[in-house]
Amino acid sequence: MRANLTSRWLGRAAMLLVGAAACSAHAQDSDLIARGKVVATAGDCAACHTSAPAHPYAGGRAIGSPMGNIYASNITPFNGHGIGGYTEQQFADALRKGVNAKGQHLYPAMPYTAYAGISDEDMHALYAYFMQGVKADDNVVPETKLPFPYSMRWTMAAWNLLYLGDGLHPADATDDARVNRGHYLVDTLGHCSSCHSPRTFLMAEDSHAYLAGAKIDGWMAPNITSDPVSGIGAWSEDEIAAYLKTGHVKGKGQAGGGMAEAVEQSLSHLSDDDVHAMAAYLKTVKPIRDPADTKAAFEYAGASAIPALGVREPVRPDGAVDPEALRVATTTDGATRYAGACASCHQPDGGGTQNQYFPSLSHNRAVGMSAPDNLVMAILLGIDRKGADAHVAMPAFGRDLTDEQVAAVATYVEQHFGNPDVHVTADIVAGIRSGGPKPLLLRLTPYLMLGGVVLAALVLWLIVVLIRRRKRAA
Amino acid sequence: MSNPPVAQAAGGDALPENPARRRVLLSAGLMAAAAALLPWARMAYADAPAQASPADLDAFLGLGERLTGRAHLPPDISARLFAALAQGNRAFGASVTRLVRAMDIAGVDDMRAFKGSAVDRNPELKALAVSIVSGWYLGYTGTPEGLVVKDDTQFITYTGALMFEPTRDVTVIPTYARAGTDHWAVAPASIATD
Repeated sequence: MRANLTSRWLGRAAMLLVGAAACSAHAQDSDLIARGKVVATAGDCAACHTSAPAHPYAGGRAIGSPMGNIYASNITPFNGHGIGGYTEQQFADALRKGVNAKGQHLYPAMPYTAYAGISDEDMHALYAYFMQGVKADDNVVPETKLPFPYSMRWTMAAWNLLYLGDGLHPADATDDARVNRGHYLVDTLGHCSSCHSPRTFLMAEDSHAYLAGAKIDGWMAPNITSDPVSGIGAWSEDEIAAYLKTGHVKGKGQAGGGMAEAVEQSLSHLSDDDVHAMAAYLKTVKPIRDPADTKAAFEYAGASAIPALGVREPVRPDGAVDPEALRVATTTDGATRYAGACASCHQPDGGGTQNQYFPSLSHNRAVGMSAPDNLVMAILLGIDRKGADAHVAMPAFGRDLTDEQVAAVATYVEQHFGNPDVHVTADIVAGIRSGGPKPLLLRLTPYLMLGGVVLAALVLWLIVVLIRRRKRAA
Repeated sequence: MSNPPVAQAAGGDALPENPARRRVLLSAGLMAAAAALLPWARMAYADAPAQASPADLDAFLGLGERLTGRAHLPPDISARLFAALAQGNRAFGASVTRLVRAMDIAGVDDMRAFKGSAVDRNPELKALAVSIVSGWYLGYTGTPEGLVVKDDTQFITYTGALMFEPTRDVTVIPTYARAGTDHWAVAPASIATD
């Protein structure tokens, strides 16, 4: 009887223990997955690997590279065309070395040169999240077909030999744990330099101009070094952190284009500690100045007063005679265009609304930069950004305004509210509309290929000559 | 003087010299040029009336400031209002002078003294004063008529119309944004104390 009781008691205790262990294992798992989700958010995987919000991480989004569209892969744990069959090693190799499970090389549109620095713990958590925390999706992704010679994926092995390092840009070693955390977030998970550093001839990030700004898809990813004139040295740490979190800072600037996406999908979800760490690190980055810059972009407030009433609110002489005249939409007069398209939100004096939801055009980085790219892109494509505080939207005028009209209104805005040295022409707008300047490598590709053909012919000729000589000798 | 080469090429025989014909052509050309410039001329007229002297415009600006009870008003809007009210009325400058003098005599330096004064009792002068005040506040002259292609309104200013001024601290000019999208969905913070 007693023995029976004891054994029952022991049995119960054992069951309880097993249950507790299972529970704690489960809790560990969910902790790990939650941590992996934070890593995936900081890495902004969703930005490229999600083409429809209903199918997170199912891939298929076309990443426009100068060489052609590169389709982001399905990274849900689906077994067929997802990454369900990946071991943790294969997963890590894809992220750190740019090689997928089939042994194919990835194009560096996937920032594996940055992800090479992901810590082992973060990699483990990320793997757990993608295998268990993400819903399997059977989306089939279009095949990436770049034109020859870029279709030869194996050439990336040679490229990797040159440019694939350990992910982190060498920085001064510091004991400040916060700055080190920021360095890791900026360089590795945030891969900030993939947009903000200019590229070399072979499309690798130029380490000599780390974070010094670059043109990408028509936008200008600004200089974010600690230089007070060209970079963000004059922004306080709090301002940088707020910008990362919300996408805007009063009197400094707002995020558009790719940066708006990064804010919406990644940065706005980071903890305050993390965005502050990033800001703290950015303040330590070696300053790089563009000699053409004389004062910070956000300091510009225009050089000429708002034009007279007769220009701003013209009396149309034909208005009373022909009511249709009021519908004329072909004018290329900057003041008229501004009054019609911009003033209702940014106000006739360019000061924006009181709460700066519609921001002032003076003291605004997009309007004060020495290049009009971001102003023109904002006019062409508009702004759509969900920051941590609000959803901001500006309509796109790219379909309604011609290049001449965009040039006229952009010049008006620069003259009266921004950098008066900037004059926008229709040619500049057309160039920006078509995605900005093409990289040198791409422009030279036909010549390089011609050179390759000549070289191949030379080699062939040499072989033939050698064989003939040998035959003669024999 | 040689004949036009076109005529020679077409007919071969030279046309007789004809000064009268040349004058007709010349005047026709001038008329065409004037017609082409007409809209421009009318616009220039609307912005800066040619027949109004600087003294007229100064007096009109001063009158506007007196009638609206304001120390400073924009001269460019005043000039536009003068031009709009003076259109088709060559005696407008004289009417303005008469109104100013009547107000001086009646001692109307403060608009609170206007009602019941001698100026107020003179229908002609009162109508003129009302049309000036109305132009300043509404930003147009005349009376808009719905469903009619043409009416007698003349545009003066939209952003400078005085009617928007009293509430500018809490509202903005209609069609201009006041705050973020859908800002009206949230009750103002000051509602508890209002």
